[in-house]
Amino acid sequence: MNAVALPLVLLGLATGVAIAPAARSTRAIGFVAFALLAGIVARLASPIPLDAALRGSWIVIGLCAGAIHLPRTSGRLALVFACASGGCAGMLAASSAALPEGYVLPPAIAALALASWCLCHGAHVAVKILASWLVAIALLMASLHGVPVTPGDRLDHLE
Amino acid sequence: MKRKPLIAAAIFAEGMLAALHASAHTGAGLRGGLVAGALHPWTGFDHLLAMVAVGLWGAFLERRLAVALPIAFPLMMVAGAALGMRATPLPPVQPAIATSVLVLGTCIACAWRAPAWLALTIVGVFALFHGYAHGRELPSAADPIGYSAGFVVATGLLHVGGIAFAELATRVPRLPLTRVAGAAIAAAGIAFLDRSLGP
Repeated sequence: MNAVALPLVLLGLATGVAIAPAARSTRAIGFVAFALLAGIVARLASPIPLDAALRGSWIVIGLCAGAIHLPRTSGRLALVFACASGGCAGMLAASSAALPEGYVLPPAIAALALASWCLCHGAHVAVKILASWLVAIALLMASLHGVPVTPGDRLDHLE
Repeated sequence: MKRKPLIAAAIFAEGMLAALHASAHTGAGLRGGLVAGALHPWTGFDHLLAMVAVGLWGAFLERRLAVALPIAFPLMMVAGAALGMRATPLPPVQPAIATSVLVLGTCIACAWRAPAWLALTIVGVFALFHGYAHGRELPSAADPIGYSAGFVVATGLLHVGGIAFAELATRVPRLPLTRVAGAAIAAAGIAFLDRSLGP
Protein backbone atom coordinates (compact mmCIF):
# COMPACT_ATOMS: atom_id res chain seq x y z
CA MET A 1 0.00 0.00 0.00
CA ASN A 2 2.88 2.37 0.74
CA ALA A 3 3.86 2.39 -2.93
CA VAL A 4 0.51 3.90 -3.94
CA ALA A 5 -0.19 6.08 -0.90
CA LEU A 6 1.60 9.17 -2.22
CA PRO A 7 0.26 8.85 -5.81
CA LEU A 8 -3.26 8.57 -4.34
CA VAL A 9 -2.71 11.69 -2.22
CA LEU A 10 -1.39 13.55 -5.30
CA LEU A 11 -4.41 12.39 -7.33
CA GLY A 12 -6.67 13.81 -4.63
CA LEU A 13 -4.82 17.13 -4.62
CA ALA A 14 -4.83 17.38 -8.43
CA THR A 15 -8.55 16.63 -8.59
CA GLY A 16 -9.30 19.30 -6.00
CA VAL A 17 -7.30 21.82 -8.03
CA ALA A 18 -8.90 20.76 -11.34
CA ILE A 19 -12.52 21.17 -10.23
CA ALA A 20 -11.99 24.27 -8.07
CA PRO A 21 -12.54 26.83 -10.90
CA ALA A 22 -15.93 25.30 -11.83
CA ALA A 23 -19.32 26.50 -10.58
CA ARG A 24 -20.37 25.40 -7.10
CA SER A 25 -22.85 22.76 -8.32
CA THR A 26 -20.29 21.36 -10.78
CA ARG A 27 -17.72 21.19 -7.99
CA ALA A 28 -20.12 19.19 -5.84
CA ILE A 29 -21.06 16.82 -8.67
CA GLY A 30 -17.42 16.42 -9.66
CA PHE A 31 -16.33 15.63 -6.14
CA VAL A 32 -19.10 13.05 -5.63
CA ALA A 33 -18.32 11.45 -9.01
CA PHE A 34 -14.62 11.32 -8.08
CA ALA A 35 -15.29 9.71 -4.69
CA LEU A 36 -17.85 7.21 -6.02
CA LEU A 37 -15.74 6.15 -9.00
CA ALA A 38 -12.64 5.71 -6.84
CA GLY A 39 -14.53 3.47 -4.41
CA ILE A 40 -16.44 1.46 -7.02
CA VAL A 41 -13.49 0.86 -9.34
CA ALA A 42 -11.26 -0.13 -6.41
CA ARG A 43 -13.76 -2.79 -5.36
CA LEU A 44 -14.98 -4.07 -8.71
CA ALA A 45 -12.13 -3.71 -11.21
CA SER A 46 -9.73 -6.54 -11.77
CA PRO A 47 -6.20 -5.51 -10.76
CA ILE A 48 -3.87 -4.29 -13.47
CA PRO A 49 -0.05 -4.18 -13.16
CA LEU A 50 0.98 -1.52 -10.65
CA ASP A 51 3.41 0.07 -13.11
CA ALA A 52 0.63 0.66 -15.66
CA ALA A 53 -1.67 2.09 -12.98
CA LEU A 54 1.07 4.45 -11.81
CA ARG A 55 1.79 5.58 -15.37
CA GLY A 56 -1.89 6.42 -15.86
CA SER A 57 -1.95 8.28 -12.55
CA TRP A 58 0.96 10.54 -13.49
CA ILE A 59 -0.74 11.43 -16.78
CA VAL A 60 -4.03 12.23 -15.04
CA ILE A 61 -2.30 14.23 -12.28
CA GLY A 62 -0.41 16.25 -14.91
CA LEU A 63 -3.55 16.94 -16.94
CA CYS A 64 -5.69 17.82 -13.92
CA ALA A 65 -3.09 20.19 -12.47
CA GLY A 66 -2.20 21.66 -15.85
CA ALA A 67 -5.85 22.52 -16.54
CA ILE A 68 -5.66 25.41 -14.06
CA HIS A 69 -3.50 27.27 -16.61
CA LEU A 70 -6.24 27.14 -19.25
CA PRO A 71 -7.84 30.54 -19.79
CA ARG A 72 -11.30 29.03 -19.19
CA THR A 73 -12.16 25.66 -17.73
CA SER A 74 -15.63 24.47 -18.69
CA GLY A 75 -17.75 22.59 -16.17
CA ARG A 76 -17.88 19.61 -18.49
CA LEU A 77 -14.08 19.42 -18.65
CA ALA A 78 -13.88 19.60 -14.83
CA LEU A 79 -16.27 16.66 -14.62
CA VAL A 80 -14.21 14.69 -17.14
CA PHE A 81 -11.10 15.32 -15.03
CA ALA A 82 -12.91 14.29 -11.83
CA CYS A 83 -14.16 11.05 -13.40
CA ALA A 84 -10.78 10.22 -14.94
CA SER A 85 -9.05 10.90 -11.65
CA GLY A 86 -11.58 8.82 -9.69
CA GLY A 87 -11.21 5.90 -12.09
CA CYS A 88 -7.45 6.16 -11.92
CA ALA A 89 -7.44 6.24 -8.11
CA GLY A 90 -9.66 3.15 -8.13
CA MET A 91 -7.37 1.27 -10.52
CA LEU A 92 -4.34 2.24 -8.47
CA ALA A 93 -5.96 1.02 -5.27
CA ALA A 94 -7.19 -2.17 -6.95
CA SER A 95 -3.69 -2.95 -8.20
CA SER A 96 -2.41 -2.90 -4.63
CA ALA A 97 -5.51 -4.45 -3.02
CA ALA A 98 -6.27 -1.41 -0.89
CA LEU A 99 -9.14 1.00 -0.28
CA PRO A 100 -8.48 4.48 -1.68
CA GLU A 101 -10.93 6.66 0.27
CA GLY A 102 -8.66 7.41 3.21
CA TYR A 103 -5.88 8.55 0.89
CA VAL A 104 -7.71 10.50 -1.82
CA LEU A 105 -10.65 12.15 -0.09
CA PRO A 106 -8.92 14.25 2.65
CA PRO A 107 -6.40 15.83 0.21
CA ALA A 108 -9.12 16.33 -2.40
CA ILE A 109 -11.36 18.12 0.11
CA ALA A 110 -8.46 20.21 1.42
CA ALA A 111 -7.24 21.17 -2.08
CA LEU A 112 -10.77 21.91 -3.28
CA ALA A 113 -11.58 24.11 -0.29
CA LEU A 114 -8.26 25.99 -0.36
CA ALA A 115 -8.12 26.41 -4.14
CA SER A 116 -11.75 27.58 -4.30
CA TRP A 117 -11.09 30.09 -1.54
CA CYS A 118 -7.94 31.35 -3.26
CA LEU A 119 -9.69 31.68 -6.65
CA CYS A 120 -12.62 33.53 -5.07
CA HIS A 121 -10.28 35.95 -3.29
CA GLY A 122 -8.07 36.72 -6.27
CA ALA A 123 -5.13 34.58 -5.19
CA HIS A 124 -4.88 32.74 -8.52
CA VAL A 125 -1.11 32.83 -8.19
CA ALA A 126 -1.02 30.43 -5.24
CA VAL A 127 -3.20 27.86 -7.03
CA LYS A 128 -1.16 28.13 -10.25
CA ILE A 129 2.11 27.66 -8.39
CA LEU A 130 0.77 24.64 -6.48
CA ALA A 131 -0.53 23.19 -9.75
CA SER A 132 2.86 23.69 -11.42
CA TRP A 133 4.50 21.72 -8.59
CA LEU A 134 2.03 18.89 -9.16
CA VAL A 135 2.74 18.96 -12.91
CA ALA A 136 6.49 18.91 -12.21
CA ILE A 137 6.18 15.91 -9.87
CA ALA A 138 3.96 14.07 -12.37
CA LEU A 139 6.37 14.74 -15.25
CA LEU A 140 9.36 13.68 -13.17
CA MET A 141 7.72 10.45 -12.09
CA ALA A 142 6.45 9.70 -15.58
CA SER A 143 9.98 10.12 -16.93
CA LEU A 144 11.30 7.93 -14.11
CA HIS A 145 9.25 5.02 -15.47
CA GLY A 146 11.31 5.08 -18.66
CA VAL A 147 14.60 4.75 -16.80
CA PRO A 148 15.53 1.17 -15.90
CA VAL A 149 17.95 2.19 -13.14
CA THR A 150 18.12 5.67 -11.63
CA PRO A 151 21.64 6.93 -11.06
CA GLY A 152 21.05 7.47 -7.34
CA ASP A 153 23.49 6.59 -4.61
CA ARG A 154 26.41 7.82 -6.66
CA LEU A 155 28.94 10.29 -5.43
CA ASP A 156 27.66 13.78 -5.08
CA HIS A 157 28.11 16.30 -7.87
CA LEU A 158 30.30 18.40 -5.58
CA GLU A 159 32.53 15.54 -4.45
CA MET B 1 14.30 52.80 14.52
CA LYS B 2 16.22 53.40 11.28
CA ARG B 3 19.06 51.17 12.38
CA LYS B 4 16.94 48.02 12.47
CA PRO B 5 16.69 47.54 8.68
CA LEU B 6 20.41 48.23 8.36
CA ILE B 7 21.23 45.62 11.00
CA ALA B 8 18.89 43.13 9.32
CA ALA B 9 20.51 43.78 5.94
CA ALA B 10 23.99 43.42 7.43
CA ILE B 11 23.07 40.09 9.06
CA PHE B 12 21.56 38.83 5.80
CA ALA B 13 24.58 39.90 3.76
CA GLU B 14 26.93 38.35 6.31
CA GLY B 15 24.98 35.12 6.14
CA MET B 16 25.31 35.03 2.38
CA LEU B 17 29.01 35.88 2.40
CA ALA B 18 29.77 33.37 5.12
CA ALA B 19 28.97 30.57 2.67
CA LEU B 20 32.58 29.78 1.94
CA HIS B 21 31.97 26.42 0.39
CA ALA B 22 29.05 24.61 -1.16
CA SER B 23 28.15 21.93 1.30
CA ALA B 24 25.34 20.44 -0.72
CA HIS B 25 24.76 16.74 -0.95
CA THR B 26 27.79 15.63 1.00
CA GLY B 27 26.61 12.09 1.37
CA ALA B 28 27.65 9.43 -1.10
CA GLY B 29 24.40 7.59 -0.56
CA LEU B 30 21.27 9.71 -0.49
CA ARG B 31 18.35 8.65 1.60
CA GLY B 32 15.02 8.29 -0.11
CA GLY B 33 11.58 9.43 0.99
CA LEU B 34 9.51 12.57 1.19
CA VAL B 35 11.39 14.14 4.12
CA ALA B 36 14.83 13.46 2.61
CA GLY B 37 13.68 15.00 -0.69
CA ALA B 38 12.18 18.01 1.08
CA LEU B 39 15.39 18.59 3.06
CA HIS B 40 17.68 18.11 0.05
CA PRO B 41 17.46 21.65 -1.45
CA TRP B 42 18.04 23.18 2.01
CA THR B 43 21.33 21.39 2.55
CA GLY B 44 23.33 23.08 -0.20
CA PHE B 45 23.87 26.82 -0.42
CA ASP B 46 24.43 26.77 -4.18
CA HIS B 47 21.00 25.34 -4.97
CA LEU B 48 19.33 27.18 -2.12
CA LEU B 49 20.60 30.62 -3.15
CA ALA B 50 19.67 30.04 -6.80
CA MET B 51 16.10 29.08 -5.83
CA VAL B 52 15.72 32.10 -3.55
CA ALA B 53 17.23 34.32 -6.25
CA VAL B 54 14.63 33.16 -8.78
CA GLY B 55 11.88 34.24 -6.37
CA LEU B 56 13.62 37.54 -5.61
CA TRP B 57 14.16 38.37 -9.29
CA GLY B 58 10.61 37.33 -10.18
CA ALA B 59 9.18 39.66 -7.55
CA PHE B 60 11.52 42.40 -8.75
CA LEU B 61 10.39 42.07 -12.37
CA GLU B 62 6.87 42.68 -13.57
CA ARG B 63 3.94 41.05 -11.78
CA ARG B 64 3.28 38.26 -14.27
CA LEU B 65 6.90 37.13 -14.09
CA ALA B 66 6.59 36.71 -10.32
CA VAL B 67 4.17 33.93 -11.26
CA ALA B 68 5.83 32.71 -14.45
CA LEU B 69 9.35 32.19 -13.08
CA PRO B 70 8.38 29.94 -10.14
CA ILE B 71 6.15 27.99 -12.56
CA ALA B 72 8.79 27.67 -15.29
CA PHE B 73 11.67 26.77 -12.97
CA PRO B 74 10.28 23.45 -11.61
CA LEU B 75 9.13 22.39 -15.09
CA MET B 76 12.54 23.05 -16.65
CA MET B 77 14.17 21.43 -13.63
CA VAL B 78 12.19 18.28 -14.35
CA ALA B 79 13.41 18.35 -17.97
CA GLY B 80 16.97 18.61 -16.63
CA ALA B 81 16.34 15.78 -14.14
CA ALA B 82 15.09 13.57 -16.98
CA LEU B 83 18.30 14.30 -18.91
CA GLY B 84 20.34 13.59 -15.77
CA MET B 85 18.62 10.26 -15.12
CA ARG B 86 19.45 9.20 -18.67
CA ALA B 87 23.03 10.45 -18.24
CA THR B 88 22.71 12.70 -21.30
CA PRO B 89 25.97 14.65 -21.60
CA LEU B 90 25.74 18.35 -20.70
CA PRO B 91 28.44 21.02 -20.32
CA PRO B 92 30.07 20.92 -16.84
CA VAL B 93 27.16 21.12 -14.43
CA GLN B 94 28.81 22.43 -11.29
CA PRO B 95 30.29 25.59 -12.88
CA ALA B 96 26.91 26.18 -14.54
CA ILE B 97 25.16 26.00 -11.16
CA ALA B 98 27.72 28.39 -9.64
CA THR B 99 27.26 30.71 -12.64
CA SER B 100 23.50 30.64 -12.10
CA VAL B 101 23.98 31.94 -8.55
CA LEU B 102 26.36 34.65 -9.81
CA VAL B 103 24.18 35.74 -12.77
CA LEU B 104 20.87 35.74 -10.88
CA GLY B 105 22.46 37.63 -7.95
CA THR B 106 23.96 40.17 -10.35
CA CYS B 107 20.64 40.65 -12.15
CA ILE B 108 18.97 41.42 -8.80
CA ALA B 109 21.83 43.62 -7.54
CA CYS B 110 21.80 45.66 -10.77
CA ALA B 111 17.99 45.86 -10.67
CA TRP B 112 17.95 44.62 -14.24
CA ARG B 113 14.41 44.50 -15.57
CA ALA B 114 14.96 41.99 -18.32
CA PRO B 115 12.30 41.43 -20.96
CA ALA B 116 9.97 38.56 -20.08
CA TRP B 117 11.27 36.21 -22.79
CA LEU B 118 14.88 36.78 -21.77
CA ALA B 119 14.21 36.34 -18.04
CA LEU B 120 12.35 33.10 -18.75
CA THR B 121 15.18 31.87 -20.99
CA ILE B 122 17.87 32.65 -18.40
CA VAL B 123 15.95 30.99 -15.58
CA GLY B 124 14.97 28.05 -17.81
CA VAL B 125 18.54 27.31 -18.86
CA PHE B 126 19.83 27.46 -15.29
CA ALA B 127 16.91 25.33 -14.06
CA LEU B 128 17.96 22.69 -16.58
CA PHE B 129 21.39 22.41 -14.92
CA HIS B 130 19.97 22.37 -11.38
CA GLY B 131 17.53 19.65 -12.42
CA TYR B 132 20.34 17.71 -14.09
CA ALA B 133 22.34 17.65 -10.84
CA HIS B 134 19.26 16.48 -8.91
CA GLY B 135 18.45 13.88 -11.57
CA ARG B 136 21.93 12.40 -11.34
CA GLU B 137 21.39 11.94 -7.61
CA LEU B 138 17.81 10.68 -7.57
CA PRO B 139 17.89 7.70 -5.25
CA SER B 140 16.86 4.45 -6.81
CA ALA B 141 16.58 2.39 -3.67
CA ALA B 142 14.05 4.01 -1.41
CA ASP B 143 10.86 5.77 -2.48
CA PRO B 144 11.91 7.93 -5.45
CA ILE B 145 8.30 9.19 -5.71
CA GLY B 146 8.37 10.63 -2.20
CA TYR B 147 11.87 12.01 -2.75
CA SER B 148 10.86 13.78 -5.99
CA ALA B 149 7.67 15.19 -4.47
CA GLY B 150 9.65 16.46 -1.49
CA PHE B 151 12.32 18.24 -3.45
CA VAL B 152 9.92 19.82 -5.96
CA VAL B 153 7.79 21.23 -3.12
CA ALA B 154 10.86 22.41 -1.16
CA THR B 155 12.21 24.11 -4.30
CA GLY B 156 8.88 25.84 -4.78
CA LEU B 157 8.84 26.96 -1.15
CA LEU B 158 12.28 28.53 -1.60
CA HIS B 159 10.93 30.51 -4.58
CA VAL B 160 7.98 31.62 -2.49
CA GLY B 161 10.43 32.60 0.27
CA GLY B 162 12.32 34.76 -2.21
CA ILE B 163 9.11 36.43 -3.40
CA ALA B 164 8.01 37.01 0.21
CA PHE B 165 11.39 38.54 1.11
CA ALA B 166 11.20 40.89 -1.88
CA GLU B 167 7.64 41.88 -0.99
CA LEU B 168 8.60 42.59 2.62
CA ALA B 169 11.72 44.45 1.52
CA THR B 170 9.60 46.98 -0.38
CA ARG B 171 8.16 48.07 2.97
CA VAL B 172 11.56 49.24 4.17
CA PRO B 173 11.94 52.79 2.87
CA ARG B 174 15.22 54.17 1.53
CA LEU B 175 17.02 50.82 1.73
CA PRO B 176 17.16 48.56 -1.33
CA LEU B 177 17.17 45.34 0.67
CA THR B 178 16.41 43.19 -2.37
CA ARG B 179 19.39 44.60 -4.25
CA VAL B 180 21.62 44.15 -1.20
CA ALA B 181 20.48 40.52 -1.01
CA GLY B 182 21.20 40.18 -4.73
CA ALA B 183 24.72 41.51 -4.26
CA ALA B 184 25.32 39.05 -1.42
CA ILE B 185 24.04 36.20 -3.58
CA ALA B 186 26.33 37.28 -6.44
CA ALA B 187 29.30 37.36 -4.04
CA ALA B 188 28.45 33.82 -2.92
CA GLY B 189 28.21 32.87 -6.61
CA ILE B 190 31.78 34.05 -7.17
CA ALA B 191 32.93 31.83 -4.29
CA PHE B 192 31.02 28.84 -5.72
CA LEU B 193 32.47 29.47 -9.19
CA ASP B 194 35.98 29.72 -7.80
CA ARG B 195 35.47 26.44 -5.97
CA SER B 196 33.97 24.63 -8.93
CA LEU B 197 36.74 25.76 -11.30
CA GLY B 198 39.49 25.18 -8.77
CA PRO B 199 41.84 22.19 -8.75
